[in-house]
Amino acid sequence: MNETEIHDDHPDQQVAAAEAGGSVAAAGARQFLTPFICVAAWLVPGLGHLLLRRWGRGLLIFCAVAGLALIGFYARGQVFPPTSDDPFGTLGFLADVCTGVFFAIAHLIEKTGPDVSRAAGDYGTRFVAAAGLLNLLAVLDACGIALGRRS
Amino acid sequence: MDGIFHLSHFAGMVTFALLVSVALGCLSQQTARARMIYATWSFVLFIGTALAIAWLMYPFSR
Repeated sequence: MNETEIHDDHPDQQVAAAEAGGSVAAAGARQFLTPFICVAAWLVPGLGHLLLRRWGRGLLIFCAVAGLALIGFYARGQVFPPTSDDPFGTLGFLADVCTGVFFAIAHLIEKTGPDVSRAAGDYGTRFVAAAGLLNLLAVLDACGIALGRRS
Repeated sequence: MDGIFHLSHFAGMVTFALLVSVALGCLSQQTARARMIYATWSFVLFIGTALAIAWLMYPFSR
């Protein structure tokens, strides 16, 4: 019997080994679940935090992103198409897509289409873009929490 | 703001500042107290800066 085996027989060493094994397993599980949490956080704002048991943060993020996106759509802000000759149009589309499920229901709210000829529609466009960017930050935050880099 | 519902420009600005401040506070701070302080400061600075710029532009509006 060598020295290592003698140490492994000690109860403290066994507990430490079990904890180390547990943390390795937990880290593996975290890495496996991280992509799913990121996709969930993107699709439904705040869902990533809810899955990570950050209840308050998840609900506040959902309320903030949902409020911005819905006000933007009801104000008839522009929802950018996927293809655009204008690079700012492409950036606008990416920001809109980042709102997740709200981008999918935009056409249900804006039945008459956007109206940026008035200030209200222009403000609505900014509201939707802000909602998308905040949700992108929330996705990155959820990803960091899932990987153990943030608390 | 005209649209399906009516929201004045000032109300739109306050709503935007409030929602963005809450979200940024949640995402950038770790404790509830720090989040509240950050969100409050962010909100005050949003509104204060907008009002300051509005008054600076006021002489040129007519």
